Amino acid sequence: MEQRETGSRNLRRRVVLEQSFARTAEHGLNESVLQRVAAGDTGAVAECVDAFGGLVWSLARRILNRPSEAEDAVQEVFIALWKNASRFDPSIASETTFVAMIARRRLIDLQRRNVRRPEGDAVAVEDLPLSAPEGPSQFELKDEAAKAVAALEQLKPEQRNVLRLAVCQGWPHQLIADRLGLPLGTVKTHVRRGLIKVREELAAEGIAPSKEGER
Amino acid sequence: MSSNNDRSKERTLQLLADHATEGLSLNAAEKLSELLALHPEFDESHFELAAAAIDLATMPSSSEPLPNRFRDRVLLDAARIMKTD
Repeated sequence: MEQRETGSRNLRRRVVLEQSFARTAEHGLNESVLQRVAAGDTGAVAECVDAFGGLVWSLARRILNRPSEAEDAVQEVFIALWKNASRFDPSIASETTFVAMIARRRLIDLQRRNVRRPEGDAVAVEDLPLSAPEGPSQFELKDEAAKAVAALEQLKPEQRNVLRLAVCQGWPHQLIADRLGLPLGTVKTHVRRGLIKVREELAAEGIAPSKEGER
Repeated sequence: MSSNNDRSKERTLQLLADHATEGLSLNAAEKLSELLALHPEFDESHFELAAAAIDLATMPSSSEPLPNRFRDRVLLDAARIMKTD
């Protein structure tokens, strides 16, 4: 029953996205839903929530871990999104990635504000997958995400695991060090080098500008 | 001189990586601002796109949609914000 409802919501999200693309094509507009939100198109707001609500909710649940915190966080993330919609630049990132960037920034800030350690302590580290899940993600795997998968696959298992705990689970570096029995400096180096690797993969596709001096 | 510069760049990149994953304390954020002034080739969002891409790439294939009660709240917020802007 629950699965059927979730499937139906996902279908609705896909239909909304397709209708949005169709509307854009029909009117000969190049504007994305975020650009229309930024222009004050109130109709685009509901489209945006239907298109990205599941993504924001999933990120909030994953990073904050406590349902009550995630609920408040969703509101804060969308407020940040409405205020930052005008910053969206389709030449830099897809809308999905832009929304994920805005959401992550707010969620990390909220996590720091709440101070408490994430409930990730209860997660068995060895149970965390070391590679991208099989099958298509619920969210379209845009170029950025596909490149990230390629970069993650090139990392050593320990480095990849640390990066996934830091980025996807939102674990503080000290917690990762404690749980994996690694020096804090090693955890930080894995995170830094892993992010540099992913960034290089993105830069090779012209997605993120390449910077000199990254090591 | 060059090794000082290398260390300074490495410190900048480490703080940028911290910023994109666990956030920064007030002191660390101040330090990052100082370092970014020395290294204008970097900016505060240097690793944010990469981190978001990793997050998206590792999303489970079946996630919960946004519950309807939050959807309504979010839409109310949006209407309020768009009215005041």
